[in-house]
Amino acid sequence: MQKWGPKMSLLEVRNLYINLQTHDNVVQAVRGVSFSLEPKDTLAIVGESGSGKSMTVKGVMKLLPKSGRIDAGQVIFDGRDITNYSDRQMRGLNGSEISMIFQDPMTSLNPTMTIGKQIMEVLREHEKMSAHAMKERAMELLGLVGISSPEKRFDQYPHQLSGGMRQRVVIAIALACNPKVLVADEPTTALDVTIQAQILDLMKSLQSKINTSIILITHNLGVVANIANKVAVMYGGQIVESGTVDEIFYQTQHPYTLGLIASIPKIHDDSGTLKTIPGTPPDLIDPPKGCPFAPRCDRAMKVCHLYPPTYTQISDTHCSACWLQHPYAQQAAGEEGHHE
Amino acid sequence: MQNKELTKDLFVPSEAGVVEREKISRPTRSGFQDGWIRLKQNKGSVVALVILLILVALALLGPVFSQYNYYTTDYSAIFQAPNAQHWFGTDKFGRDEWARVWYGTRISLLIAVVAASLDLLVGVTYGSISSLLGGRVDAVMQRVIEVLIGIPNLIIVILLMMVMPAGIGTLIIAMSISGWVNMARLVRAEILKLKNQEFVLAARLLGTSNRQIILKHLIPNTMGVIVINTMFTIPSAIFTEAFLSFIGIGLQEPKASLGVLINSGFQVINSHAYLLFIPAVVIILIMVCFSILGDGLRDAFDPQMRI
Amino acid sequence: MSEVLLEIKNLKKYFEVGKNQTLKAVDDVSFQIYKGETLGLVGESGCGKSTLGRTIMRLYHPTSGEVLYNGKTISGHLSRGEEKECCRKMQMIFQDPYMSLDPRMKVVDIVAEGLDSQNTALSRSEREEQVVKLLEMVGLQKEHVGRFPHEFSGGQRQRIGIARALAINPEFIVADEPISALDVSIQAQVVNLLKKLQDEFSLTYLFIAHDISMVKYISNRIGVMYLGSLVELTSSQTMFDNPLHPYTQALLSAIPLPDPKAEKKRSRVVLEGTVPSPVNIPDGCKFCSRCRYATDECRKTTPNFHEVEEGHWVACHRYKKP
Repeated sequence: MQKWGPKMSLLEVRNLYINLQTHDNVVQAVRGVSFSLEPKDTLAIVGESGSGKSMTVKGVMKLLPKSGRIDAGQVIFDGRDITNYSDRQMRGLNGSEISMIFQDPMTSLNPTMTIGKQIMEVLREHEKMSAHAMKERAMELLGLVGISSPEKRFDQYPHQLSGGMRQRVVIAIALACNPKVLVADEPTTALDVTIQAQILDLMKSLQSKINTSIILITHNLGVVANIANKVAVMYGGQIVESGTVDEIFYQTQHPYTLGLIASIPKIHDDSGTLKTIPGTPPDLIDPPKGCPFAPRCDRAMKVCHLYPPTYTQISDTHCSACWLQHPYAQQAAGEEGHHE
Repeated sequence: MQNKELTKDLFVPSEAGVVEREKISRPTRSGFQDGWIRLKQNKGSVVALVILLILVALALLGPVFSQYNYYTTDYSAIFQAPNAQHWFGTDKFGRDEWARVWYGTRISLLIAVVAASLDLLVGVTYGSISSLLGGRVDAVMQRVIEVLIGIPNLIIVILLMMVMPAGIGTLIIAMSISGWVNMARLVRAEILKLKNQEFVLAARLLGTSNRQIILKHLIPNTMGVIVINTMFTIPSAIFTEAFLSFIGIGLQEPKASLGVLINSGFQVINSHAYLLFIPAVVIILIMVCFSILGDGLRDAFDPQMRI
Repeated sequence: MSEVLLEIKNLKKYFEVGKNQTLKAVDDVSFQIYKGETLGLVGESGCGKSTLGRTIMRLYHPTSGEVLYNGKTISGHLSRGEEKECCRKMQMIFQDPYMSLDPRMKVVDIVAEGLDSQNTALSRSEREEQVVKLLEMVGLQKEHVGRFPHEFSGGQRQRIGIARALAINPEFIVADEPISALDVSIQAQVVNLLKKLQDEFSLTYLFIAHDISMVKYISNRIGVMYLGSLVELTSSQTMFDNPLHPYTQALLSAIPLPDPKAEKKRSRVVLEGTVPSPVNIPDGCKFCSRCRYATDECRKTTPNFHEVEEGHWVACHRYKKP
């Protein structure tokens, strides 16, 4: 794997493997994922359900379910190897250095506590502040995430707020201690489109204000295009393509990424038919021997079913795991073109 | 990874994947099979199940192994400590304690199983009618349940025992008269939840008759709750029986039940503790094992646990 | 295309949610669905689109108003025979692929449920043969008949639900958010499948969704709902090219595009605030609390749902009848 670079990344995940033990078999949820996050990056991890995108960050955050465990790999945060951190050590990091936002804001808020108290709780845990300063900071945070009249909201309970409002509160709590990394797991999936647009705008403006790096997990490429600067596309527990947002959208290499982009409805397109990817994602109890995408790929070759593809570096930032990038495949394509 | 031979002829298009597109690699298993496998992995439940099976086998066959029966008195051999002749000793009338313990276990289990079955029958019927008809019928039926809950169980039982002859039948009726309430409430809640589930709506839209909906969708999906609740009713029925017999309003000698045995053992606790100790251990084992098994079943059949 | 299959007239569905509190889930909605078309119904959560679909399917009794199918009133009380006839012609596909299939039943029994209840006397092998045919129609295979729902992925389950609805050859299908719970690539699969089936069996769809961009690919016409009322209804092309209602405009501009460069340049009509509670809505236009064009007139009188151009209906005071 990669050697220690001269420049240290804020968060580096190396060759991560995560298994989930079900009662009679093992799900290989994450199979060798590596990525790195630099300060001020917004990295989007894109994939369908079951692609391992959520498990990857849960592994990083030590939030794996009881049945899950990291089998191999390293997680390095800010120069520290946190792969084997205990729950206690992790609690010191969570909230103050890495924060997480979940899909459903209701599950991460305590329904019996006022909004203000919940924010102050986090501050009390991680920062030494007077009660007065805490309250001031909580108000400031509520204002920061665009909640009008924070004084009024401060004493309200989560159920008195709408879904979009709650997600704003969750973001305020996550940002309370100025974390270096904010992990957002499908933060807008449960929200309506118009509210989704509001939350995305908020996250973008916040990032430029407080210099947090963001890892965004989503299945929505539209959201990715809106907010991310780096993208990793996951399929079958592996990253199949990664690069800057422009490289992924305009110089797409992997057939899965292509299919994913093609299956998004375009507003200003009159063709009337949608491209799709046939079939169903593989069950990771028994992942395919070769490329996980091969059974659904319309450009699959013999080699794809036999061996897992290696990463091909297309540019400094862009790489793709597909046999089509192999010189032999390029040659074959060239010859075919020649014959015609 | 790099030592494989890559040849050019591997780089030709292949349609091999098409057949695999809808492949499902996990084995086919129904919810019950799944739950059974999960139950088998729960060591506590397996041990509890084995102990229960042994106890039931002893209750049925135990007296056979002994040459004595539970009612024959032998005044030449009273209060004998456990020995080769009398494995569990004898009581104050010289009756064989081994025979009496297993006979008593049999009676206790019988009372419990019959009472639990009655609870199940009445509770499930009442609960499903209440939830399926809904509206005013449901409201009235729920008020009836609330009234029944309001009256202390023990008062009903004691009043009943006073007007009816003491015996197994009376005990069972007394316990069932308000015991089904819990089951009825659970079943009602479960069916109310299922009734608005999309698969039940779909069945209605497909023109499936109410009878079929109940038989094909509602009952199979309520089964888990029913079985698990029964697992908890049985030990509580055993306990109630033992309690009633212990305070002297249950079964009467020479009939034996675990409660009766504990009662007579308690009278001689200072001199012959084994007469209390043995039936007490049996009743504790039965209650604890049923509870552990019930917990295990609940975990194993919880749909949330399925991956 | 011109023959009306389903007509909804001033349909209202209110729920009592407490003392003097009425939730107007569907509030005076009228529209028609033509034979062979797909009408898309779009709106945010809580706008009453699912309630509308379920009221049409007779799962709820309407508070007032009528639903006519082929000119015959089907809302309200029907005889057993009429009810059965209704069932045979109208079917529904549900949102949640996990809750819409009975977890205790095998796929063969799920798909055959309609066959069983319509009293078609089939032998065991005929029944299974039918089921296999239906499964193959939705892209599944013979091997799947003996499996249980939890072994399938979301998209596969949704296709099983479609096969179940098709088993009794319906004419009209209400698809209640059939793609909302699915991944993007699978959404496209299901949409394409529904289109294919529509061509094959000349089906008519009412397609309910919250994602207007996906709806475009399957619908001939699209209706937009807000707080229980229809605010705009027109052909899907016009809806995207020339949306009139300010809410539709905001909805369209909120859709994130899979194109980073366009996204950066794009200016949005961002809606302030959130959808107000549908309980005890005041008079006037329901959208006026979030509308940037709101005037006093909007706050006082409820706009009529009227035709501004041929086939383009809108409920907004900005567009008066010519």
